Amino acid sequence: MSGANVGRVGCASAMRPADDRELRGLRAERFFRGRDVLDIGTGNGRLSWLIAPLARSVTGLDPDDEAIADARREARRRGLGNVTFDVSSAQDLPVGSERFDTALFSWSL
Amino acid sequence: MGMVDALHEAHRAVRPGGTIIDLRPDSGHPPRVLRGGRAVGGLYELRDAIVDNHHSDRAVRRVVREGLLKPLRAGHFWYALPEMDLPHLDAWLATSRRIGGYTRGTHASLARDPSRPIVVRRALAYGIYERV
Repeated sequence: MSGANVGRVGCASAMRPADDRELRGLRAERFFRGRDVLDIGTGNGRLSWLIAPLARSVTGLDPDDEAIADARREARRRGLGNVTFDVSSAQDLPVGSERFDTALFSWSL
Repeated sequence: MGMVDALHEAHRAVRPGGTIIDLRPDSGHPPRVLRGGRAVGGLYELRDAIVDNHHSDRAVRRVVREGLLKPLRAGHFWYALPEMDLPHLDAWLATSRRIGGYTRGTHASLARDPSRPIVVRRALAYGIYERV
């Protein structure tokens, strides 16, 4: 089962691919390229890492602090300078109004 | 109300003319189980997961009716999970909060040769909306 991600926060049953199949299937690259992106329910940041090379900035939010700690560690390991992660619920986002071009509910609505 | 609140928050955070994308498992298309490229059976989703999905659908429709979002595109697509053997698939299902188990006959078919790789294909539904 290598490459799979089991027990993701907020959707503990989820087994999600480790590559970009979700983003390719979504065919939404134009909504990320050069944009400020908000990834709501980012979990361990898996989609944020994939969006980051396209986007101007990515902000990943998730209520699970352990998942966010993992996401931050991985962002540092990857040397991604345009990604930030924060602990937050989707119902009370700690971000300014009209700050983003795109918001993605990734398995979180 | 939680889902509607989340959509309202996303609407607040995104600039007018921006985009809100909803991506989640598609309860209308349950997971399929394949072996050697051939369909063997399927998995069924738990009732709670299906109900949650319906609530999410209703929340989106409500926020669209409120005039805060304008639908641009919606659909679904399939993707394959990494290959696994039957013990791994059993272990995943035992911890799953979304998938309830195998559809009738699926596990028996798989158990005849438990070490052969299995592929699960899942459907994801998406909706892309313009922030009005």
